[in-house]
Amino acid sequence: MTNNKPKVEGRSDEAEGPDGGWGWVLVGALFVSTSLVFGLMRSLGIFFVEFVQYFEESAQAISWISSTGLAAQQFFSPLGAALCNAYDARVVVMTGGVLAGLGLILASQATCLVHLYLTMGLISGLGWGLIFTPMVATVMAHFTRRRTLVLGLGFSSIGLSSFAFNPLFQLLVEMYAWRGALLILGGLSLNIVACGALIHPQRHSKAPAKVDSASRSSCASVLNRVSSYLELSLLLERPYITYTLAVTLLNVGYFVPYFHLVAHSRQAGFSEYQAAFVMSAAGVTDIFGRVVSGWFSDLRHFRLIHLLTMWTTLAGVFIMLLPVSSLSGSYTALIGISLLYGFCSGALTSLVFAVVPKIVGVERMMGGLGLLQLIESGAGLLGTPMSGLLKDITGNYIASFMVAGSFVILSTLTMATLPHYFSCTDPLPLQRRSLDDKDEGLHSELKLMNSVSSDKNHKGVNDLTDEVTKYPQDCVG
Amino acid sequence: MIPGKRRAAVMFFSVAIFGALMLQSVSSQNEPSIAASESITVSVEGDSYTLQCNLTSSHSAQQESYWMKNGEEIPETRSPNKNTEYLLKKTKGDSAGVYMCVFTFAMAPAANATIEVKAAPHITSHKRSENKNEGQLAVLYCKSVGYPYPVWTWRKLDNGIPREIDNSTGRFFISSRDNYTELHIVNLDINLDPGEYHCNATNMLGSHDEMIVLRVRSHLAPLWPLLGVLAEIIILIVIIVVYEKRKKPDDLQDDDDHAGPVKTNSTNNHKDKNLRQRNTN
Repeated sequence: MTNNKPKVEGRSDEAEGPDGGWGWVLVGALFVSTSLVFGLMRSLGIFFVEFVQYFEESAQAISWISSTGLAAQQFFSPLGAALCNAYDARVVVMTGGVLAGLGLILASQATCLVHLYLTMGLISGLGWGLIFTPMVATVMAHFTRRRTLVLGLGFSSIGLSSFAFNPLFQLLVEMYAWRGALLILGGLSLNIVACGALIHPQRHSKAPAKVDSASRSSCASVLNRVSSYLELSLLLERPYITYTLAVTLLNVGYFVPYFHLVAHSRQAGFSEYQAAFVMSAAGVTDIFGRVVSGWFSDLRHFRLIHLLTMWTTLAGVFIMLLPVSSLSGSYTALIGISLLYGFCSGALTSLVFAVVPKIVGVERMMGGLGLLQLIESGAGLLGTPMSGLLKDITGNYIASFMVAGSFVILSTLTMATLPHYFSCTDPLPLQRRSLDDKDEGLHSELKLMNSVSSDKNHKGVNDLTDEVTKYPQDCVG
Repeated sequence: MIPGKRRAAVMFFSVAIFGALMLQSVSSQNEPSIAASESITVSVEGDSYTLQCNLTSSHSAQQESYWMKNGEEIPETRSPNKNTEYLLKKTKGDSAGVYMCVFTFAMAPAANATIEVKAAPHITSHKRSENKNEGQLAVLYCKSVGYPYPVWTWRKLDNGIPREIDNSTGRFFISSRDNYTELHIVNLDINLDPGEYHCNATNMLGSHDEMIVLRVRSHLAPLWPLLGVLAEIIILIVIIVVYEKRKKPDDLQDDDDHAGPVKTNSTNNHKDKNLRQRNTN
């Protein structure tokens, strides 16, 4: 019987996601689209120098462009998820690609700063929001055993592309001026449309059929459908809320080293090149961390949530150690801690999204990811200004790093309060509560009859045992 | 002549001459005299030179002495000495200029002596290349060190031959001052203006020449890569759609499994659908 397996995954996972085949093509599509979304966002710094010169505005006003873009991407994530639930993921991603490219092409014609906020910030951000969550959810749905590995491979593109894009953007700006460079980037972003075309068209909508059967055009039913597309019911469930809170706390501290490490190294007395090298070294180990952690998690020696907790704790500890290591003035210590920090922060990135289907189930994963992105966006906006404020008050970065590290450790503690945290096997994912519990009982009986009559489908037997025994098994070994 | 008048004339002339001599020596006593070292020509970079000024005579009490370079006081050179030195350590190009040692007095105006440190011009700063859009204004500049201040000339390389800038179009403006020169080109023309420009600094000791490359970007230049990228995307999408249409009849069965996440213990209706399809197939 499947109950005796020592493996720690939930048994429901094995029935999903054909590993391999077309899935690898989608991993390539995820690689390209993630690099064109986040890799591009990270390398926009090259343009900011040009904007400051051309529009004669302060650096802070210009930096709002990328903040608006990132905020829009995270804010519109639930919208992207809901549209995928209602319609076709393929159409949503292709539309997102068109919007992202359009935003950049329009930005090349901007005559004032507000135009840039609206085009590069809002329109492109909306496009990016429609791309990222659906792509990640689609890839995760196509893999079960290698889910974390493919996520690690997909997200490693962010680090690699920021290495490649920085010199490329510099070259484009020199050859074509910033307007021409933005025009070409808009064209490059349209490649995401081709990535989206690789997703298979969806046959059936994910909306639960029960909702449609009742009154169609009443306001209440429309609201019900919308809330089911957005998976708003997840907000009422404790495991999801706990996890979202943990990720939000993580985000408060996670970005602080990216923004302040170079400045802190300079303040500790190292030269410009040494400080920049520290950042690059952390970036390289970040890429390794993503792939290695993805591969290691898929070996199934530990539960994903336990691995995530471990990486998060280590990352928090290393963030706190960063200012301490440079106190002694030793460059080796600073590089060492930064390398370790880079590895851990990359490692935890692969796992953060992979844990979501474990908590909410593959069916509600799309909406779950969207809501998660929306809620964690607030933390990102809070964390960096707060650390900057701490630096202004205390005069150095020790306090900022300490607080950031403590937020990360706090998120670990929050994760430990997830239900069934200390068991060896994953609990079953949350079931979507149906409107009518009586129907649930009736349908399960029907299923029982059908599954008994069919001998081809062994899945039915598994589901039968799952329905009957809703409690996780104890560790066998 | 009457003997008395001759004696009076001799007396008068000798007094006059004596008086003139006295006046001269007195007046030269009123001006302080400074012995200063000779003008120096810096020939080898890195040598050290010492500039010396000695106040040999003055009739009022001396207060201080200090050095000035090119009209500005050099800090930390003030001292109460009569003999003052200024050491030029490891001469570089910007050591050249007009140096002055200044002596201040309690009851008289200051006195100074000038020592020139000459060097051949050396162009220290210039932009190696300038990229501008057509129709814009381009400013090419060169900065040099050396003394005396050089004469600047601008030339453009035309088929390998440097030629003086042809201002028949009236778009070129040169402004030079001391050690700095600028060439302004208004309303850049994409056919005539791109190329190599040379700024030349020449003084009596030597000359130096530097090159600046001017590139003019056309407004339409980025359209070609954009069209290339768009073509690539359209070709990719066509390939994907055609591939899908070809595989569609073969994979009609499998597509139902691959489309979206396969549902398991969720809504039961879809499970029944799958079961039914399997049974009919």
